[in-house]
Amino acid sequence: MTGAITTRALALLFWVTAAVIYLPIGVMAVFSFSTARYQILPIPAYTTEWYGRVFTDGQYSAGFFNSVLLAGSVSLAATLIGFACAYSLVNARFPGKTAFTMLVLAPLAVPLLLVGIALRIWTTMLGLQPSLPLAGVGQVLYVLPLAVLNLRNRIAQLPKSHEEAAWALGASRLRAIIDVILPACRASLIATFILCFTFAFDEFVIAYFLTNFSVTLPIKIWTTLVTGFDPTINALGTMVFAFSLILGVTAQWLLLRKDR
Amino acid sequence: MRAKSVTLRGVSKSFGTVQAVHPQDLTVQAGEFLTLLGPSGCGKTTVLRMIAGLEAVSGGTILVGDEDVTSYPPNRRDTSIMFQDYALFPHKTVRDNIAYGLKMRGQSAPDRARAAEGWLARIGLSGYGDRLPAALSGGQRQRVALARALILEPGVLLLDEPLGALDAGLRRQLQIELRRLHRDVGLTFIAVTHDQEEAMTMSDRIAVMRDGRIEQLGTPQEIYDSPQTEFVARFLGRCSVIEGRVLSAAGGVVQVETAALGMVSAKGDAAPGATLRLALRPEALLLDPASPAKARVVDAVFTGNAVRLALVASDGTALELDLPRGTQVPAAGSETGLCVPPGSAILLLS
Amino acid sequence: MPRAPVANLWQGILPALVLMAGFFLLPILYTLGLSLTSEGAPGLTLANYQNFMAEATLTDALLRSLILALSVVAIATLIAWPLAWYLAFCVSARRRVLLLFVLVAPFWTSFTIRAFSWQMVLADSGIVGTVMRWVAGPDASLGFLYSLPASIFGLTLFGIMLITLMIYSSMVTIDRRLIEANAVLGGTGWTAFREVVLPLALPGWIIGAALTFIVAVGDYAVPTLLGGGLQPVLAQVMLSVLKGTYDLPMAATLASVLVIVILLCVAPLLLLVRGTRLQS
Repeated sequence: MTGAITTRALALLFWVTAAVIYLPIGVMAVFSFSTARYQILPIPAYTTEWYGRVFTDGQYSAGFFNSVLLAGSVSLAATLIGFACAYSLVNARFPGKTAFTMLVLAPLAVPLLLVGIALRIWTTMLGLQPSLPLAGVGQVLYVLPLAVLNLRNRIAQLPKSHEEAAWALGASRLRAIIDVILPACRASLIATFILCFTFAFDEFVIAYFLTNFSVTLPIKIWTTLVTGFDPTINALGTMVFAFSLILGVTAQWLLLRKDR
Repeated sequence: MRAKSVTLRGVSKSFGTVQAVHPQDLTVQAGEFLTLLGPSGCGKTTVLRMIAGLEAVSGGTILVGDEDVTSYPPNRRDTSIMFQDYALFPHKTVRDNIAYGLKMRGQSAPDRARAAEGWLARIGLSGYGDRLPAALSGGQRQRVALARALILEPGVLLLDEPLGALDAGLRRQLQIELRRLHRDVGLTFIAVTHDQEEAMTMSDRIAVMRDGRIEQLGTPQEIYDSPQTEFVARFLGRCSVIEGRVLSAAGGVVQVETAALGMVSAKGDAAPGATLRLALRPEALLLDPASPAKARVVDAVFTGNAVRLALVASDGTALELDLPRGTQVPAAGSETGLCVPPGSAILLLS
Repeated sequence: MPRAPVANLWQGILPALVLMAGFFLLPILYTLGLSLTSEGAPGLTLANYQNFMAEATLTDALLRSLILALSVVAIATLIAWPLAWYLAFCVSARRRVLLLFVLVAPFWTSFTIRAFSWQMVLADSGIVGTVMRWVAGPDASLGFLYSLPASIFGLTLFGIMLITLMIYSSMVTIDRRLIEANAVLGGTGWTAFREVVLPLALPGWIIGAALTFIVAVGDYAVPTLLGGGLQPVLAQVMLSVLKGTYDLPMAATLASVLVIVILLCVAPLLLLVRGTRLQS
């Protein structure tokens, strides 16, 4: 249907766009091994000094640790809350289902800045101090829509008869969920957790707005960028990119596999 | 195991504004095999699910034995249900599947294992205990599903389209097996199906349903020989339907003047002068060159043990009859005479 | 009516409901409400909004955010349609998954990392500057960084990814036979696009454009890293008000302005979606 020349042109457009998108990251990765401070060519010498610095600098490790802890808690909470919510959305009847669904999915369509500011204003009014847990709450509602969408799709695919068979055999609702629904959702649950973790780990705006002195890795990166350029950032950026990429691919792969 | 009866009194179900089941009364005798038969959407599955406790009733009461179970959860009703897709838990072994109900009742592991092994032997699958359902064939899975339901020793077994998931050859074989199982186990069986051959082969009685109502209830023989409505007549077995006017009625026999086939007599009672319809089974219509009732042959189809002739009567009504093997088949387009043996026409009430 | 034999487990939504109501809905409503109040003056007032409109720095920031967001959507749209067409119609099904992954994968990672990596590349000390000095002498400079166009550029890449993905999702569900029918009736590739593909893929574009607009109009990282601080966008002003002067009512007002802008710009798009009968 599309002429041969047009197809070649479109393919060219695709690869040029891809190249532009990957350019800065590739450059960053390459120069993370350069001894020079800036991206000058030719590269004077190669070194892993910057990578070493990332691990030895206490602030980076603290930031990484905080980020992992925060993202881990956030994804756990979001997966659990999301599962309960998805289960009820698929299986229960209650009024206002559409409105509720829109509410849960709303954070996807609202700038994070808005969420951060509103939450900051609100918690200040309530007398709550900015803190890591508070940022965690904000991040949970940021990733919750993802969890709900993923798990709702998966649960909706499960044959209703399996749950009903469990009930008919004497299982309580909770028992049936544990014995029938959870095993069938295993891959989706893990993928959802990883997905939420990836997004929460990289999240900057809410963490920045709702903490004062606690530092997550994105915040640490940000403050370094703003206060003065440090080539360690190249190494850190490359590592964070690789880390997020691996998590993302794993989650996608898990989601694409068919649950038996 | 002791079989229980099931009684429905005024049981109805509506989903929002749609009435899926109109208030129905039904009594299933203890130990009988009753089938709810009807086309999709007639409400048969809804009735079964209400008996099982998976669907709340909108009105009426359900009794199992003497107990009113209308508000009981599915596991407290002394019923067990087998689903159309068997609903075997895919992540549990065959043994764990079968023993699941016992586990929910709190039986100890050794007791459960023993009971499960017993049933595995009964269904001929000893040694399959550690396999996953995915490793079994369709027929094997059905047996496991049955074992899982029966191990709880219910008074009533409910079957939702039990043979729907199988291919034709397996289906015929399992129809007979289910009937044999019913006799062995002695429980009340209530099955739902849209396949009339299945219903006739397996059941003691059939309840034919349409649009949320039971249209006729009876043994397969009764329903086949004496369908009360055109719907039932057409749903079970094949038939031709002709219209006519009652000339006289006496001694349980009615004489009907029809446009298609002249004078036809049928068993039953009706007011003289009334117009009604008659159903003619394919075996109730015979070739008779001497008969004044003529019809034109349209087609002849070989069905294995007979030849089915499609004809058009002089008033345009479509007719069907079966020619036994060996009879000479009239040529398509030729005219032939037909006769209806006395009393073999069926009076339709509506 | 007798009790239902199997419980209706709607309670699963409670944690999510509490979370969303208490930490999303209420804060936003409170913020909107706060923008309608003023120190010293009791009751509701539009004073904050009047102050906003009167303050040139603020309205300029808003204008820049709008220009940024609309430019991003426009440019990304131009590139996204051909890319989506390519992926949906010119590539085998197997390659499609791979190519989509190639396109989407970088956006898995931190927005901040991506933004600053562009900052490094575009800076005079970056690779672009290095190449330019090779080519055009030691004084050559791209001068692109720290300007609104740089911000537009940075966000457009994200926009291309998102809009392409959304259009592609719609395109891929189009029945091929419709296109064949078009060919049979004498249409060319261009008419196939105009008559068959465009109307059916339009809902996808609408969603992608709306989401991109929302992200772009409220983004902070890209304008800060690539746009510089001299000509701030609304997001940058909001941040300085919150973390700098700590003027909460003003922050609330700015946030409310953002909400209003988004509603005004996105609502018509979504009405269009109703019109084209989207299935999401």
